[in-house]
Amino acid sequence: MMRMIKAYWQHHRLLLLGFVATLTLTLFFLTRLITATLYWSNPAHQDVVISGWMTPRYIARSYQVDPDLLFDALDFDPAPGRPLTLRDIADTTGRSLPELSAELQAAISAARAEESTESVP
Amino acid sequence: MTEQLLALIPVYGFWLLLGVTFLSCLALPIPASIVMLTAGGLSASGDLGLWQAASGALIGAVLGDQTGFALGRSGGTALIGRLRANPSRAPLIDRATGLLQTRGMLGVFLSRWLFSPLGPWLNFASGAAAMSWPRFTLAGISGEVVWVTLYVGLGFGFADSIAALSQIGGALSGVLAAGLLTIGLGYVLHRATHDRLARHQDAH
Repeated sequence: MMRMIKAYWQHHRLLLLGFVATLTLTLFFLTRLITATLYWSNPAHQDVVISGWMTPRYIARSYQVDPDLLFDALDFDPAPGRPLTLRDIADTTGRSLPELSAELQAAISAARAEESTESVP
Repeated sequence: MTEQLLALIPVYGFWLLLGVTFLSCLALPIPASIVMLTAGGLSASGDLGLWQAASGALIGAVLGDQTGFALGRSGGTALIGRLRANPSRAPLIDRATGLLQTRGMLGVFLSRWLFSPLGPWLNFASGAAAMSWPRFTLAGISGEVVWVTLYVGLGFGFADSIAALSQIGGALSGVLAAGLLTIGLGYVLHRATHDRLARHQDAH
């Protein structure tokens, strides 16, 4: 084995370095694949983190709640035209993003709590 | 940076997707897969037209492929000529260009979606190796249809798991592309040693 590697190093240095580099890269991505799969298979990590680029309807879809509920929580009427992101809404209403996100989280928790009591006979 | 890009999707829809896939097909570091997944998710929630997202991504990708191919053809042919000037390298270069001319279609098709990190490089290489343009275009368009349908479709179907999809998908395509390169280089290394030993024996 060592002799083979030595021969490669002597005669095909560039190829050997390339091979080692791509092998390292493969193992790196494999580790990432395993850690990402483990992380996301944990139910506690499956809820999306609300962030500025999201539209209220997208958040509603992610959390499987009624979009109108979220528009109510934000106290914001979806005007026709292009959809607004949470940051747009923060800018036009003069509120901060964390504030809006907290309001949405509260509304979602309330909706979920209601849903779980409804499902109990 | 990704966040700012994602925030532009509901604003510029079709044109943003077109620009993103176009640039990513030219090997620029643009997170095209997460943009397509997010566009699919926004379509599912009703904030973006699904056809708008998919057609923008597809047109951008096809135009990007064509641009890469043209760049390879105009600049790469001379580069290949220079590389061939070294007699020890010439057989390898000939084998690679021959492979692209005969089996290039499968490579182009698979590098659009299954080994997508390799896609842009294959565009340049196909142009440089003077692969036939209709064959490149046919394989390229069919591969891009799979790529766009896969990512926009997954985003649409699993709008609540886009972060998970993009991380797992990104790692998976990294494993596939780097793994394929490793196998390829391992094979070339093996062949090169084999050829050297054969020459060595002939000399005796």
